[in-house]
Amino acid sequence: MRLPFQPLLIILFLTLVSADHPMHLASHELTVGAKRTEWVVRLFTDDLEDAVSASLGGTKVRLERTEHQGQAENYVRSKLIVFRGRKALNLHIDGFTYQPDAVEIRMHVDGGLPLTVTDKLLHERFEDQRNVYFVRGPKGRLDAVSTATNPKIELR
Amino acid sequence: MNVPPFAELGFYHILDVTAWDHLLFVAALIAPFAPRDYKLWLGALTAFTLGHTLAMATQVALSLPLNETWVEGGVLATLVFTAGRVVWFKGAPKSNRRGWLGPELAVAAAFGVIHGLAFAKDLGPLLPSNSGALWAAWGWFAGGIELGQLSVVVAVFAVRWIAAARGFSPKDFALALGALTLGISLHLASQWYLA
Repeated sequence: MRLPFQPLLIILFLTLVSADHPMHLASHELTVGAKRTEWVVRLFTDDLEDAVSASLGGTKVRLERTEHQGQAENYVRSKLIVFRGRKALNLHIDGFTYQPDAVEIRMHVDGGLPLTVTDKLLHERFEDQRNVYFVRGPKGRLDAVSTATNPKIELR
Repeated sequence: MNVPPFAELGFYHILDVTAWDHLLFVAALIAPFAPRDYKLWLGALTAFTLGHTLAMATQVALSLPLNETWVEGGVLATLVFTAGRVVWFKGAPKSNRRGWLGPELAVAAAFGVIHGLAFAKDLGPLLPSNSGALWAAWGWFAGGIELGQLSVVVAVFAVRWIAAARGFSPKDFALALGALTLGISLHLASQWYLA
C-alpha cells in the first residue's frame, strides 16, 4: 500500500533530530502580609546560568559559586521591576539556595498588595518562557503568568 | 476568563509540536479506535492522566531517587510498545476483541506513571511549597493534560475521517499511524541510546 502523503511523512521523519522538548518555566511564590511580602522565585539552574553568562558577555557561570550567585541576584533584580502605584519598590534578596536542577532565590518587598510586576526573567532567552505566579494574599489565592508578549502583571 | 497557568501548561505540554513523545503516544493509543468507541479511548486516556498525575504527586512528595536516563528510556519504551502493538495486530480495532478493557486501562495507567515520573523530574523543583497552591497546580495541570489529549484525539479522528473519504479502511489507517509512530519512536529511542 502506498500512502498519498508518503513523501511528506518521510521528510517529517527525517527532520526529527531530537526527542528533547525543554520546558521554559519559572515559578514565583508570594506570601502577602500586612507589612511585607515574602517572595520566592525558582528557576532552572541551567537556564539561569546561561542567562547570567550572556549578560556578562559569555563568561562561564556556575551558580554553586558564591560570586556567581551575586551575579544571578543582580540579573534577577534587573529583570524584575516591582511597583506599588507609581512608586518603584526595592527587591530585597534574603537568600539563595543552589540545587543542580533548580535554584531558589528568597526575597521580599515592603508592604502588601497591590503590586505591579514587570517580569522579564529569561524572556530574552526563550520566546515561550512562562513565569508563573502563585500568590497567597489576604483575599485568598491568586494565580498569574508572565510571558514574553505580556510581561506585566497586576496583583491586587 | 483567565486560564489557570498550570492548566495552560498541561495543555501545551501535550500539544507542544516538539513534544513528539506525547503526541505520538496519544495517537498510537487511540489509533485502533473509532470515535463511537468513546468509552474505550476516553477510559484509556483518563487512566493515563490519572497515572501521570499520581506519579507526579508521589515523586514530588517523596523525591524517590530515580535514574533520569532510565526514566527517559522508559517513556520511549512505552511509545515503542504502544505503537508496536498496533502494528503487531495489523491495526485491527480492539473493539472487535472481548475482555481487553481492564488490561488496557492498567497498561495506560502504568504508562501514565512512567510519563509522570519523567515530568516530575523536570517540573518538581519549580512547584510551590505551599500545599494548597501545590494541589491546585496538580489539579489544573492534570485537567490541562486531559484537554490537550482530547485535542490530539480530535485531530486524529479528523485525519481518520479524511483518510476514510479517500478509501482507506479504519484498519489500514490504524496500521499506517501505528507504523509511522513505531518508526519515529525507534528513531527517538536510538537517539536516546546513543546519547
